[in-house]
Amino acid sequence: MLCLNRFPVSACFEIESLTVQCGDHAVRLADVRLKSGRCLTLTGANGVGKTSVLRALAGLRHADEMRLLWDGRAVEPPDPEWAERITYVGHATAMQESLTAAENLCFYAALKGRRVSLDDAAIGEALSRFGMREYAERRCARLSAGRMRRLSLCRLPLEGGVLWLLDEPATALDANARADLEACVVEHLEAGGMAVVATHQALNFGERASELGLDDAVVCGSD
Amino acid sequence: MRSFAALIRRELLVAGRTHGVWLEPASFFTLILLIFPLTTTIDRAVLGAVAPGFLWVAALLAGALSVGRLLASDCADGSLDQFLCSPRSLPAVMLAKAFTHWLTTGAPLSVLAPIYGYLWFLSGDGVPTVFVSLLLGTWLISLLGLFGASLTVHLRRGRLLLALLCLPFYIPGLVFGSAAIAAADAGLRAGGPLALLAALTVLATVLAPYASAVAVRVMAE
Repeated sequence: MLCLNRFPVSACFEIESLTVQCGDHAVRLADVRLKSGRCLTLTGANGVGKTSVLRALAGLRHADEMRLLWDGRAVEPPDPEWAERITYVGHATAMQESLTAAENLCFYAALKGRRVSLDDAAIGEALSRFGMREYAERRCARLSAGRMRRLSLCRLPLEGGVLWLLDEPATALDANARADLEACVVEHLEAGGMAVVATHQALNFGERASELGLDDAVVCGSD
Repeated sequence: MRSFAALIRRELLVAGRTHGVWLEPASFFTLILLIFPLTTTIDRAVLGAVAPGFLWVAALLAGALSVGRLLASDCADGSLDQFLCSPRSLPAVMLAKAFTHWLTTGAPLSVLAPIYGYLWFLSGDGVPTVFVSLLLGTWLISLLGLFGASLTVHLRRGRLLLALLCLPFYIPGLVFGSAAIAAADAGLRAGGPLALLAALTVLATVLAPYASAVAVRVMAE
């Protein structure tokens, strides 16, 4: 079952402070607040640390210093409590080539603890959000790069995370799929969700999005 | 529990669809055991004397070759990241990986092994012990191999390092496992070495998933 308005309307996510090393510089964020229904787009030059910030938020990377608050309470990635709330879509599509599109999605839903079977409506719905329904039975090895990217985005509506962490989600997408992505994110925000999106391309999430340039957050040297 | 079952299902599907994954260790094992007697005499006394150790070494090499694949594809396609940021317990994910690896490589091998034990002139008591000893032994190899694979998962040429890293850990299993077969073959009781092998296996079952989970997380940097 895909249900909307399932997120607490008052949820508030706050990056009190976050310092991540990337290469020869560090990125430091402080007092970034994200309310329910809002989206944060991370922008900045190549190599500035957008991916590092997202991976640190997902609990996939060590941060020199990280204090995160959820509704005023401290949370620590990769705690299960935190992992329950996020859905991370990174550069890699995370789809096993020998499995079909539907099997891959079904597995990730189960990994998030959702009771979903292969022929469930939820899988079909998620696939059709990105025009992938007709490829449900196709092995991922036989999907093009763009369709693999679409498939990895299908996880978003399916997994039910409140906070979406998207790393360059529009890579390899055509105009239609980009529109689908924008619509999907906007719908998630309208339902009370949140998103942090690292992107170079101008994605239009309406007035719910605010931009955070990482170029200004760079601090030199490793202190 | 649901995600544990889903993970095992996924791993079995992947193994079933990737041609040769489950055939490879068993056929490697077969080849070594069929070729070796050609280099010496097919003599009951000679082959029977080295059979316990040789069966174990062959199983160990077959297992050690296949553990390199344990996490490689998950790391390459980004699934490993999803395991790391999923709310499921990472040690349970690792246990499921080791279990499916054993089920698709070690278990078929230990089913075949008694046949080769018989062909290598082991006595009537030795042949069933081959099965028990390798059933436990291959599970131990999968667990230790998973730990090694977790440590080397992000290294480009990690396969050789993985083999070198794991071999010392395999030695206690090798010693007790082959001692059990040798004892049974000589008409003695194999219970002692088998119990020690089982103890090692239990210890690895408890520790290896946690150790691998920590290793994967640390190496994810």
